Amino acid sequence: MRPDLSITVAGIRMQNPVMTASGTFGYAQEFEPFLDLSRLGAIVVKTITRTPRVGNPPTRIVETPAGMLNAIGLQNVGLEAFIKEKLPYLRTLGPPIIVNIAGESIDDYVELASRLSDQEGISGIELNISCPNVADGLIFGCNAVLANKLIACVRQATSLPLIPKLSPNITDVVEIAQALADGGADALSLINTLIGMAVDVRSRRPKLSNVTGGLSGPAIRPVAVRMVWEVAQAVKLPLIGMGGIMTADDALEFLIAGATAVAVGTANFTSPSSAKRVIDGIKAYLIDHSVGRVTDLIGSLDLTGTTREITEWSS
Amino acid sequence: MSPSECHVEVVANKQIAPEYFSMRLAGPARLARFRPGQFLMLGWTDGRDPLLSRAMSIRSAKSPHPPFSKGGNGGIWGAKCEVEILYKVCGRGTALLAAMRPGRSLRVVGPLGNGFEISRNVTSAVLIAGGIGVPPIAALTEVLATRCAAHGTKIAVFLGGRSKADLLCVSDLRRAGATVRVATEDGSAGHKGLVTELLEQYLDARRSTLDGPLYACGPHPMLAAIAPIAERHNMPYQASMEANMACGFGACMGCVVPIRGNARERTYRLVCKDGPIFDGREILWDEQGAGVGKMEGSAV
Ligand SMILES: Cc1cc2nc3c(=O)[nH]c(=O)nc-3n(C[C@H](O)[C@H](O)[C@H](O)COP(=O)(O)OP(=O)(O)OC[C@H]3O[C@@H](n4cnc5c(N)ncnc54)[C@H](O)[C@@H]3O)c2cc1C
Ligand SMILES: Cc1cc2nc3c(=O)[nH]c(=O)nc-3n(C[C@H](O)[C@H](O)[C@H](O)COP(=O)(O)O)c2cc1C
Ligand code: FES
Repeated sequence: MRPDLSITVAGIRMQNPVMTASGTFGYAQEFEPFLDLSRLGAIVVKTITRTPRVGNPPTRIVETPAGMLNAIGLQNVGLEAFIKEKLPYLRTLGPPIIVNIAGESIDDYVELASRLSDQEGISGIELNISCPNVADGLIFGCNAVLANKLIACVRQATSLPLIPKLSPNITDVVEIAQALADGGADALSLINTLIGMAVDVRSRRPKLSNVTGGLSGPAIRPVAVRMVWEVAQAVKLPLIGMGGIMTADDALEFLIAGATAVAVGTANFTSPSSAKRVIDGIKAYLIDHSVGRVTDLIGSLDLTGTTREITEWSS
Repeated sequence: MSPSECHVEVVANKQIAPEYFSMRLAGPARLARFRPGQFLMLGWTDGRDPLLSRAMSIRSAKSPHPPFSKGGNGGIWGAKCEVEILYKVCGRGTALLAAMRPGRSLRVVGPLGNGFEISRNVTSAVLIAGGIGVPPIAALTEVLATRCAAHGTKIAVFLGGRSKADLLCVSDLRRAGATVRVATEDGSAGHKGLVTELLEQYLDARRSTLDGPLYACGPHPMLAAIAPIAERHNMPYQASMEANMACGFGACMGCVVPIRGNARERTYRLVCKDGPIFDGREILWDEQGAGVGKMEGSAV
């Protein structure tokens, strides 16, 4: 039996559900020595902004238990250099290219989206409304009214699929997800990093020059799976789940909880061929468990016997 | 040579001084093709905790290694060469490395980084290593010694450490033909004081006879102290820089050092990809220390 790994998210057809998470895969070229890029479900590139950003001063990275904190500060080459220098290469790779964008105002997002719509070889736009490492990076991601307005405005500017990326640094993820769905989002990515902090007790100084940073890696996976599960029940849109995926089993948790696709992030740093192993592992799981299509797994969580089981008298 | 990802097997892991270990790793032959100054990212096979790989300079590589017997332990890796690293135990990761027995495997990405630039036609080279900065300097000494043999290149190595136990590779360096001068902060060997003081004395006396560059690897304060010395003597200066790294191959943008550029906007370079070897004149030395209490691990 050859299992069918293909899925469709926001109208974007992918040969398998394994994507790369923004900011953890560079502009893909860095990974060419380590894996066959054509095998990926989709490639999501590092956040780009209208003008280049130099990013935060060092130290930008510290390791934490089963995770890491980063405060890169959205260092990137900027929109025009991306189009001129990075996109031509990305177009040749095969998998759908999803460009992640961030701005400080609705205008920024609109401008980025419309300029990218003119380019060939872009399959979708992921909107980073959840970066914890830049001033104002979170305003759209933490306010349902603003989030709704943002997505509605960008919707006018492009016909490309729009995928806002949710922040976990909020009380009610469902409220924001719903607002984004109402505003015209085609799919949702979740989650971005959790705001964290680490202190060097000898010097009594923060370990990051930005003081706080975004926590990623295995440590955040349970939070991410829970958020995907909550949103999947409340919102009809396809979800791209991410947060601490290191192995195929980790990815399967997200699919079973309700994600249509997954993204591998921090694992790309520790082993640059991680995404390939996740793809191979999902395939092996489907064969072992006689599941014909990966889509059969989506939201297949079995709640029998749990406190959340829906029984006749509870509903 | 583009880097690759592979598994390596620990062949030996020997304590060479109170806090220092030498580890030999068997892996694919391509690992042996490295430039002095290049490094490996060394990670644990399970890879969840500790999560990130550790950057380790390549001390030496022997190739070809006799192929492992087919059924044997190393057979599955198709091992053909042996790479040596030297490390100082200074945290959780290096403590875990120190506890590894031969036969265990590690994940490696490498060789990474640019490596030192070697000019062939010079008759002298001055190398400075502080503490655990010695592995790439020793590797460079050996390459300089063989490549530049025809020119009769004089290699002067300056080693600095807190005390005698922090001075590694002295006999290796002498065997390669280098003149070795040492400095310790506690005076237990050589000059009592900083290695940069020795270096200054030497340059003040010999500058006119030197036509090669300065090469250095060590803790940030040492590298920063050498910059004005190199400038005053008008010598090219190649410095091996450090930064916390997540990937080691240019994907995370985590490992930046500030570069001298225009005053209005800061410019950064990646230690893992643009470095770890930088032209000393390029680095914005006073700013780097602002990196908030890190890297005490590799202090002299
Ligand atoms: C290019 C390069 C080459 C290096 N070569 C060697 C070598 O040959 N031998 C050797 O002993 N050490 C070397 N180091 C330093 C070595 O990487 C650190 O000492 C080591 O990562 C410490 O890990 P730990 O878990 O013991 O310390 P911890 O302090 O517990 O580590 C916590 C985190 O901080 C990072 N970190 C801590 N100190 C450093 C440091 N000085 N540089 C970079 N990251 C650090 C670790 O990688 C880890 O992610 C090199 C560093 C770089 C950048
Ligand atoms: C170093 C680093 C840089 C990141 N940069 C971005 C970014 O530019 N844009 C973005 O939307 N998310 C960024 N992220 C968040 C990831 O895409 C992902 O959402 C998050 O890390 C959770 O997944 P993980 O635990 O698998 O890494 C970054 C994460 C890391 C670790
Ligand atoms: S360590 Fe990731 S870019 Fe240098």
